[in-house]
Amino acid sequence: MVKIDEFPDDARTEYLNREMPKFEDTPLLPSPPLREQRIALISTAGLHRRGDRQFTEQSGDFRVIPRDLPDEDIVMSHISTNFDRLGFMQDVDVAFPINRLKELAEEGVIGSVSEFHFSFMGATPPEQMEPSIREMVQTMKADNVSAVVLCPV
Amino acid sequence: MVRQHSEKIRPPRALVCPFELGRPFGSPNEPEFQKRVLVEVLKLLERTDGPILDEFPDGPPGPATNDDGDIEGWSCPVNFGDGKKDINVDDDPLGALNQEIDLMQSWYDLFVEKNGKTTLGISEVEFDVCVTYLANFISDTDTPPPRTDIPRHQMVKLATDDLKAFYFEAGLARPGNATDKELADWYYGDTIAGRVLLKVNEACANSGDKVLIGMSDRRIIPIHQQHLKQQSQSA
Repeated sequence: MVKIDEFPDDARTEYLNREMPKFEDTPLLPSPPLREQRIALISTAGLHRRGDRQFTEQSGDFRVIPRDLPDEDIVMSHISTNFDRLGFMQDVDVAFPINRLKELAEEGVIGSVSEFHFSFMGATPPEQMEPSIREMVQTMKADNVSAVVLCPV
Repeated sequence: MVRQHSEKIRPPRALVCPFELGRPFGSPNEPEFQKRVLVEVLKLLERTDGPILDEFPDGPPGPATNDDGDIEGWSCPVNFGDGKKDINVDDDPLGALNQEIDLMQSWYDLFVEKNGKTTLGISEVEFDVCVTYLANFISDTDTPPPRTDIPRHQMVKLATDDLKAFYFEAGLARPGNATDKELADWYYGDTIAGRVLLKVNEACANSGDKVLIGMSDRRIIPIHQQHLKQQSQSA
């Protein structure tokens, strides 16, 4: 299993003590009932449409994943070798639960599923993603997205 | 995925999941469990007592492991039978690699048939061209890359990803449920492909190119297989 406690000591210590962004406040907002929410997924797994631009070192931009893209057309080009890919090879939803989200919409648990979902490549420093994040937010607003689920790997 | 990181970032609402890195929703082909995790996350939206840092209570479903944490029953997918010529990877890396790939092909085909999809092809270069490029790269890092629209280091990385996808998907087709660590131990430690990758990694490290040298740190050989680099260099 690829778990952090199986990393060699020096790598585990470095990973756990990695510097993280610090924020002065926590922007927690009250939220409408779940059954009224329109949800989008944001992955950091370096996912994209087959044939779209692959991620590379320092990629801070995102790739758009349309809601109804077939599973076999969702691929991964994250630069890291240090997380499990066997799960994703067998089942997209283990990293990017788009089919589960659609089922929850059909069951009435959530209101609806956004038309577009997004993936970044998490090995890039977050501050380099900020301009792209602002652009992504505009797209979400136009699609009336009310909440997102961040899906890290 | 990492509690210590979330404690520092203090996001408004977070659910720590005790799963492998790379599997934020638990296990593949376990839709009910995945949905449970997703609903737990979504329910955090209804709370306003943040910052919330909850922990999912259960581990992922899956086959039982033995005392070493390994899944029992999975076996190495390559069996070099009679009639196969013993090609030395040091003398002929491409020949040795192609012979091994030939032995793996039917297992890979079975995986694709069973799953109806493959992650092979991320480089957008034919697989045999990727294999030839990596084998040639060992002796000459300036060997012409098959794609010229992306930097050389990205071509190397994507070619290694495709080689890994082919082997890991072939491994998944074998009976038993191999873990990522088991397949990695086999792939990097026991296969010709693993030895070729160690040589590619060494070529990057000795290339004099800053980006390739950076890649040789952890972008080709995972953290939990780094010990093989020393073994390879002293061999």
